[in-house]
Amino acid sequence: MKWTPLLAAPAAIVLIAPAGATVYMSEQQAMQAIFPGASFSPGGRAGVFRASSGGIVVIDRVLGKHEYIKYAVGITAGGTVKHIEILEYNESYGYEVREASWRSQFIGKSASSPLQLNIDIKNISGATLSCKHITDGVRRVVGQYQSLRGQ
Amino acid sequence: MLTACQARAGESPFGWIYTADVHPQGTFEYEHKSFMQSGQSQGQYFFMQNKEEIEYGLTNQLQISGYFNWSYANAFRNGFDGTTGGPGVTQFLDASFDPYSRYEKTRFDSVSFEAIYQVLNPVTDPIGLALYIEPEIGPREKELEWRVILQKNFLEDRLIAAINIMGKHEREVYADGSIERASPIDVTFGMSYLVMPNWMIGFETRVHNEFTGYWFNNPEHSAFFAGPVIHYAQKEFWWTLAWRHQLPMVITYNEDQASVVKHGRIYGDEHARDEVMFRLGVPFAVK
Repeated sequence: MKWTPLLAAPAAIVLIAPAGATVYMSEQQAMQAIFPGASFSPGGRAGVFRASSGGIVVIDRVLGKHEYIKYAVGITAGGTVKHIEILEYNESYGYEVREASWRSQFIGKSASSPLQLNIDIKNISGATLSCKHITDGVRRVVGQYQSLRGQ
Repeated sequence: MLTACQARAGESPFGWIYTADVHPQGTFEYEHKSFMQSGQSQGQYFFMQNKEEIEYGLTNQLQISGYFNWSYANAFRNGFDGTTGGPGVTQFLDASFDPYSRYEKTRFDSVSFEAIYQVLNPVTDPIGLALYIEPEIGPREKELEWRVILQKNFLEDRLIAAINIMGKHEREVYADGSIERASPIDVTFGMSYLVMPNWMIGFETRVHNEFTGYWFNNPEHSAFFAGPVIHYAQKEFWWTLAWRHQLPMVITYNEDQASVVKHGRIYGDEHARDEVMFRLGVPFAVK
């Protein structure tokens, strides 16, 4: 028995794999959704934008189950989370993180908040991994707010 | 800001080892498994056991599955005495079979049911724990398999370590009417690391202990396997390819078992030199 055809099967599957990310909104749309009516200028660091109304938007990504989740965090001039938006999500499960009710939990959080799943951010059963990693990502962004704002 | 990759019980970064995650409630997945064994003491030997499976998340902690099991065997004079036999072959040879001829057959084996209950979530609890049970029934075999599944994630979930303790209680009817009762217990351990999005690479080991009787009555042998594994996943599908090589360090507990050992590896009606697992999964809940 020759193993070659069997071992080649996975490679063939990858080659024929469908491509294409699910994009829910652009960076500009996310910024406008977080700070409606504001104009934005580069913040001196890739993925950071200053809002004319004060505050910043950080475009970040975390790895979900298989691929990156792209999201935006808006932070007010006072250092609290204005809102978050999910820009791209490419997992089989866990799309519930896009629901406004889950994302709204982040509003008002700051660097002094725990920002930990099952402590001050409720989990969504079946989307645990995405919930945890987005929460971790927001915590890191908020923790870096002072340095991000100072650019 | 790179964080994690995670596998569910259905989708595993390992070939043989289960992880403690389960499917979300209300989601389905189709999975195909091919477990291949190749190479015995001499001659030609290839055996492929296939499972076609539908998995379903009954709750967020309980996953159930149904299997259709079929196999393909191709062997020729691979036994120690020059006759044809081996795992998946010997038990199907009746008196009309010329023992020095080739055996090649594709056949239906059995159907089975599987349930996995997640006790501790590997993402949110300090360690993941799941319990597994699988009854299997076919024309020639009846089997009850159970597992205790432990999982620990490291490095922001990029490194997954898992241990399975697996026991089986088997009853197999041979073509000559004889009945074999066995109860193997395996301890498998593996680690897999996310090297880039979609790709994990790791290794897995197996310590296999075979007993006669339903309740680990008399030890037969202990065999040891190790090898690499590669896993690819995206939202539409995933696959895993693993290879385990039998290490030349078998331990036997009686003369019958010792008589099917060559260069430290055991063959007979149980084992081959190399084992390969290929798994392909397609989730149905993609939005």
